[in-house]
Amino acid sequence: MSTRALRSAASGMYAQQLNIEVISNNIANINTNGFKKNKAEFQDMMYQEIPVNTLPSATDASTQSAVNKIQVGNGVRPTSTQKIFTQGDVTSTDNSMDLAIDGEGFFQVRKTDGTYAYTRDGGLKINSEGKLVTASGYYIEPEITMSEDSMELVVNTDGSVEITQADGTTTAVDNIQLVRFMNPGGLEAAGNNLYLETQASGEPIYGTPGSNGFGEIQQGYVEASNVDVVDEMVAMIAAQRAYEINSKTVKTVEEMMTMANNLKRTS
Amino acid sequence: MIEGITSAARSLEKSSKSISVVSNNLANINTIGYKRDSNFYEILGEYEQPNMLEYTDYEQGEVLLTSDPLNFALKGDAFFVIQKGDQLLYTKDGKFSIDQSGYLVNGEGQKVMGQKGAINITESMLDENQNITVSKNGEIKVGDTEIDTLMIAKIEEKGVLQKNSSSNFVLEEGYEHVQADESEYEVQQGFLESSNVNAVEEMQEMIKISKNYESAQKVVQYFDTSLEKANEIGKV
Repeated sequence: MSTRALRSAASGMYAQQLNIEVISNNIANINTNGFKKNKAEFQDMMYQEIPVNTLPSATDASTQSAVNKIQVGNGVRPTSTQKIFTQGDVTSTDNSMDLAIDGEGFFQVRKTDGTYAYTRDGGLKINSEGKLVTASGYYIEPEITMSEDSMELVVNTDGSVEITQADGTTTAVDNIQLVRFMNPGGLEAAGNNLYLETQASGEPIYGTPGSNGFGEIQQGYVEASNVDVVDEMVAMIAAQRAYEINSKTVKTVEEMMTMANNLKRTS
Repeated sequence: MIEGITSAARSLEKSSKSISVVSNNLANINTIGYKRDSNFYEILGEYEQPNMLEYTDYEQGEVLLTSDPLNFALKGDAFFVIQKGDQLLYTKDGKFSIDQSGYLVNGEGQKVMGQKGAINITESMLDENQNITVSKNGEIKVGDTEIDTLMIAKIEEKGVLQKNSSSNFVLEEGYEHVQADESEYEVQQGFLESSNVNAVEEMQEMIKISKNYESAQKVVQYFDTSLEKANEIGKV
């Protein structure tokens, strides 16, 4: 008896285990600003043609009967984890340093090594040099610097930034630019709410918030994660049941193998 | 007597193959666009062996909401067409994305076919609006610009479809698909067709196979006992 059935069932269990890991990560990040949920994806594995009626028959008449072939699959394999870039809830924080993108786009940040990363998390801070940085301390690009006299920061929906000084004058500084990608699903999640450009995502496309399909910037709001508890719970139930049923297959095959072992009586 | 033991053995062999099919179905219970396989037997004649055949059940899987504009579910007896090298693949898995050069591709990065060839939406993507809408008959629009219409294939004779991995099917050599008529299908944007494996049916099948196996095992053991008796006859 071949172990194919056993391997298929094991691949099913492995796939569901991975599914649970992804769901668990989504739920763990339910309160992470700008977090985008993941979804594990599966595909069936290659098929093999196997002959049936391989045992020679004792009767003459059937020896000529053609060998029949059937296609048998080899189980399932996890192919990718897809980021789902749907909009998260935009929630009010009354903090002028919080920026949310309502629609498509990412903020561009510069990492310490000079390379760029992209984020949806607009919970910004001002560092000791007066520069606008993300919660993990990366600079927003283009840089926006506040001086000692700066009193208030106003970010408009089109990304233009105005700083009000202590003497009441208002100066316009660099605009905040947004970036989008041909295939955001291809971005690499780098942790810290950051995404990196990859070959699959394509080159970054720069634009002004609120035009050309880019989302608007909302000051005083943050974008919550797009994880939905009910969805995740349902997915978890489905994954657990699928795991269970695959384990039933393992058990059944194991029993059949025991029967095969017991074919010959040991008397 | 020996004849009997062979047919019982053949039954054991078939059960062990059938369980592989059930096991594969259950492993793919969450695979998008998967179509279940099923076995059946055919008794050919008095002296011929029962023939084991296999068919794929093309029944529609449940259609699930994903809200992703590049996820399509195809209702009706029809398939999306994917280009892989110079070969065409047919699939019910409408989980597409846009690759770096603007082509609509499947999970493996193979291009999705439209009526005018591979579907590319680069230019419109870089322009004004990038909302992609797909109508029920498969017409793709980016903003107000019409791009192409999805190629939807109909295959009359399902017997010539072979399973390939990744929820894809290929046609046997010498066969071609026909373009499905608009009344025969419906493309639903933001939905995916889930696997059509039904856990209860598969469990039922699994129990049946397992019990069959057990019975056949008993028959082998019975013949073994009888043959033993026969051998004893000659004993002094």
